[in-house]
Amino acid sequence: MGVTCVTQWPVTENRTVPQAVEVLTKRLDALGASKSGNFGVDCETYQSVPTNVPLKYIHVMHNKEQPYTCYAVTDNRTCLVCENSFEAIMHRLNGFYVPKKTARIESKGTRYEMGDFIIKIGIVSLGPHARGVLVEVEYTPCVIIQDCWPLMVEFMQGFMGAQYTPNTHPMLANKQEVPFNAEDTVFQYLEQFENFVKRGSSTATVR
Amino acid sequence: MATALENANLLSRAILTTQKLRISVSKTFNHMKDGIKVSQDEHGAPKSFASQLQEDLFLINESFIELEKLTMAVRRQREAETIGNTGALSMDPVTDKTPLYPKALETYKWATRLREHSAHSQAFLNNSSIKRSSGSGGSPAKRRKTAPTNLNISTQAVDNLVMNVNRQFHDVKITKIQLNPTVLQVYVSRTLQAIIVLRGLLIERVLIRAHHENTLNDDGTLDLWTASKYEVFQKITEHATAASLRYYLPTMQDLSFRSFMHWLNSFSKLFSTPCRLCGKYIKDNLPPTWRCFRTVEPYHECCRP
Repeated sequence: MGVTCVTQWPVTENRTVPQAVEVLTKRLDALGASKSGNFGVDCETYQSVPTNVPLKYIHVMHNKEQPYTCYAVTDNRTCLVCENSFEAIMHRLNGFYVPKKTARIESKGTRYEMGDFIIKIGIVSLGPHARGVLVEVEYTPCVIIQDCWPLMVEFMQGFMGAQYTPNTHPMLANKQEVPFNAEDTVFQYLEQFENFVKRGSSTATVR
Repeated sequence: MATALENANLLSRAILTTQKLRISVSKTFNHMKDGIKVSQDEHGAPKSFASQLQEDLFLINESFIELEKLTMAVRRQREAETIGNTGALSMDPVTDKTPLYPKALETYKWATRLREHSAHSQAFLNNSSIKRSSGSGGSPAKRRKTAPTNLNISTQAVDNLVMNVNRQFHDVKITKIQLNPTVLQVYVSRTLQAIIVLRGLLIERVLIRAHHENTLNDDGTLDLWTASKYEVFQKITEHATAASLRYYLPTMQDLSFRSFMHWLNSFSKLFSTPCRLCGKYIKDNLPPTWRCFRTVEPYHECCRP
């Protein structure tokens, strides 16, 4: 797999989430992208039982690109890549970790291909509510993000608008020049999901 | 010789008679098909269809008899007289059992025709030969002299060259992965890998793949044929094949290989250098895949000067 960048597509006040998605899909169609199926990334959070202080979280994530793999990520970003049956183990650990209520968050949508680029536009839903739009862009021939970052930024500006500048990629600052792998994509999704959850809870308290 | 001449005369007359026969036959059929115009003979009586047919048939008969006479007159000629000593073969009295001589004649004819045919095709091919390198521009004799030496390159020489190129370009890592024929695997930075098949020191085939793509088949054999699954590397494979022809110098194979490696080395920053002309990274979803053959500056395929 190549280098990916997951970024949020802002849903403006006067638009609903599906309308925001439609704007992007129309642009991609105009650019000649071809649909290549659906995709989905989901995350379920397990919380340590209250007797354990401080509270710890384990995020169990799936990416439809790797359907038989399950990623278990802890708070300090340690990632365990394992088979799907890992969930059964989590149920066994009921005495230590319990699923957090209403914490299943997922991003689902259509996958597009355009030359060597793969674009995934997903609607993020927390429980039954649509919360926003996430766009994942993957450039498949390259595995070193430092090499192709400007190229990816240019590509993303191509369909998201010239004024759009994605946030600096976390891997650009943190890591040495190491090849990109599937966990790095999952980390990016997790980070975006956490942002949505935070924002969701803050708006809830305001109301 | 006299009989031959006579026969030739008879044959030419026979041909003429055959033509005459044909004409009269077709005339007869035409008359039968179209009918005849009512005309008057010299006594003023109208000519009937039957009399006209009789006349035509008479003409046919006449020329037919003549032709028959001529064929009878043509004497069987002894073929031995035409081709020198081989004639002795035909002296065998039992020619029916051993048809050696007729077979020999047939072969002779066949060989002559083959020679003529090849002479024609050679002349034709010489006119439309492809001249794409400085080597083939010279006289054909010169080319014939230099061509066989091209392949006599020792493996030592290849190893030395590989070592030198490895030292010269920092981003290029060359390893030899097959001995005969020589196949080199070239990693250019972390961007791409090239599989190069050599003949002597000349580049026979180039295949560009992503750095992380497989070189081996599932059964462990070397995969020289599967193209990369990425569009960008398929495009660069095309350009690399063109470059290997552009740098083809059979007289200076060393230089030819070095210049190609210099060109290939320019891809080390494929994804991070913008096009020289338009200043963009992407056009048609591809980075600048074309490199100038002289200056190795990056251009998009449609931006090239």
